[in-house]
Amino acid sequence: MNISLTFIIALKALRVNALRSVLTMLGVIIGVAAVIALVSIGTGAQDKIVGQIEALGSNLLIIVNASSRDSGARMGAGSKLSLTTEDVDAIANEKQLITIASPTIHTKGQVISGNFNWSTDIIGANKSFFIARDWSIAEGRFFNELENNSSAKIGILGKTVVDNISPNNSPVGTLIRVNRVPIKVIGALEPKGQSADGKDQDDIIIIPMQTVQKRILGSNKRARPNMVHVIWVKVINSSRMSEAEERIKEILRKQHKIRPGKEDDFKIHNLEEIRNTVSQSIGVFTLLLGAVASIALVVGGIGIMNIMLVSVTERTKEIGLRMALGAKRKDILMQFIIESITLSLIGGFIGIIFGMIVSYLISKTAGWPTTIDINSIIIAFFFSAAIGIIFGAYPARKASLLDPIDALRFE
Amino acid sequence: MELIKLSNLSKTYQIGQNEVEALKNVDLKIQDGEFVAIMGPSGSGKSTLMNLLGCLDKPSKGEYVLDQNIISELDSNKLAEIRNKKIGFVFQNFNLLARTTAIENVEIPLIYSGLNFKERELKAKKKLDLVGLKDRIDHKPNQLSGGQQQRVAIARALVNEPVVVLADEPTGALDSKTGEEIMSIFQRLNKSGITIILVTHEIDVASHAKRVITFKDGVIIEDKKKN
Repeated sequence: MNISLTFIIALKALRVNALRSVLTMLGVIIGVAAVIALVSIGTGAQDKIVGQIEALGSNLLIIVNASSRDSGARMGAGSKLSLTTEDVDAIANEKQLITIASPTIHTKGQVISGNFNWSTDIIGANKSFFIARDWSIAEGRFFNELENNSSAKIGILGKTVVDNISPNNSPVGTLIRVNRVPIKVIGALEPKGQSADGKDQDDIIIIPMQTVQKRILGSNKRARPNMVHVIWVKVINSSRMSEAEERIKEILRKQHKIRPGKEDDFKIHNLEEIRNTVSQSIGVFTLLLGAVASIALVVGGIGIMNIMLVSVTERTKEIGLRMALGAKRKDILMQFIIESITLSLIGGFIGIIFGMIVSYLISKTAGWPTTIDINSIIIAFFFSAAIGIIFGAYPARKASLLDPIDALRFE
Repeated sequence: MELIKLSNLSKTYQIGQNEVEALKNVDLKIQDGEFVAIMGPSGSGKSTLMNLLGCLDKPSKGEYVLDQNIISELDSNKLAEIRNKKIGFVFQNFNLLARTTAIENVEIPLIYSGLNFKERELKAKKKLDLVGLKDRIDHKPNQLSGGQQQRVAIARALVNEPVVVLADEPTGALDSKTGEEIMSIFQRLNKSGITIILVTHEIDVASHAKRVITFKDGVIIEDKKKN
């Protein structure tokens, strides 16, 4: 006797008690829907945060100045400017590990264009900065080495700055003033959105580094001509991030003549490492959500077992008759197992659809990002099939072990 | 041809502390094409005999040969196969599956023989035709009279061309007129060469058979053949 026929017999038996079958399925439906919806919230959060980290640029090491110590009081990150352009050149020399080492200097300033003005972050950078950050231009062009070295008065605007100083028309080609220095806008950047810590990465104006050094910071007495606030290092590939980090540490300690045992005067942020840590911790969180939801699934399975036991008792006479007419024990076993698998699979299928709807509603109403992973659908499907087998096995075995004579006599 | 041979067959049940001997050293031979009625008061062992003949139970002692198969030596899977292929059951209370059409009820034994849908339908239709229910094939048991239900059950018993039909009080749940109808079907089937063994305690019913075997306390006390 073949499976498809057993399946048809099972469907018929389930249809006879349609309401009971639906109520039994409800346990599995809710369980599967809960797994799908909750895991989609976890995965959505993971995707969003990982996306934000990746938006900073791929294979990126970010080197910043460390805190300084003033009579034992630590002054906070970046309070001591130890990084220099010479450090950048030394790092860039490690060509087997590093593709780009790009320095930036940072300050704040007021951008004025006609009647609009906006306070924003000013970044002095080289052309390679855009490559290191995987940042592309929406309109206009990047600046070149020549313009950088000649301290050209040009700049590229982030999306937020464009929106605030030139909301109606393209800023490219216009002349603006940045801290009273006239700057010609040559380009506008693609938006990058919020960073992982909630900072608007598009609230920015990028100006050639030499221009910032000489014309914008020029009057500041703390500004040394070779100073660097941040070095953006792009590593050859993601598997060599730690190796590159170690190597840069060595180079910088040597450059800065730090004696063994003394603290570093710089700090290296390994984005890959941060990404993995965050991704892992959210992964654990997702797993936890899934595990909690699975409890509902197990409860659903117990519901199936309960109903199958009732069904076996109710149909004792039918079982006896089928045996008398030639059903083997394994035919009876299969009949009831398939019946419970059918219950759990239909329940699982409806649960998947239901879970997707719930997940969609959550992202719409609560505004949480949700991602439905094809894996969680596959897992939910097989899990519900397994529930059917596991919780159907005992009632089915009970049915198959009935004595045909007693079963036939059962009233 | 010798269809059934029981040699020194015994069946003992354990009821609590006591052993009850339902059949005691029964020897019996039934030829192909016979119409046998088994009679006796309740507790005489006739139901036990039917269960053994129907391969639903195994003897405690002795040998049972059905159509050259030594039944007493077979395992439960083999017994299921024998029941499926060689035996047709007709029960007192019909035992049709509720909410299942006549033709689907008749098809059940064929399902377990592994026939496909077309073959099943063809065979089931033929047998329903034979018992005069050609136009009732899609009726469910609750839409059929008692006599019609028993005829569906007979069609089901015949559908796999068994070597013997075992009928346990087939008229017990029917009025006497309908009972007569059912018995005439059995007679007609027997005339066409089908072996029938029927258990009853009604002499009227037994009178349709060509041979009447009477049991008492687990032994045959009378074995009477009509000319």
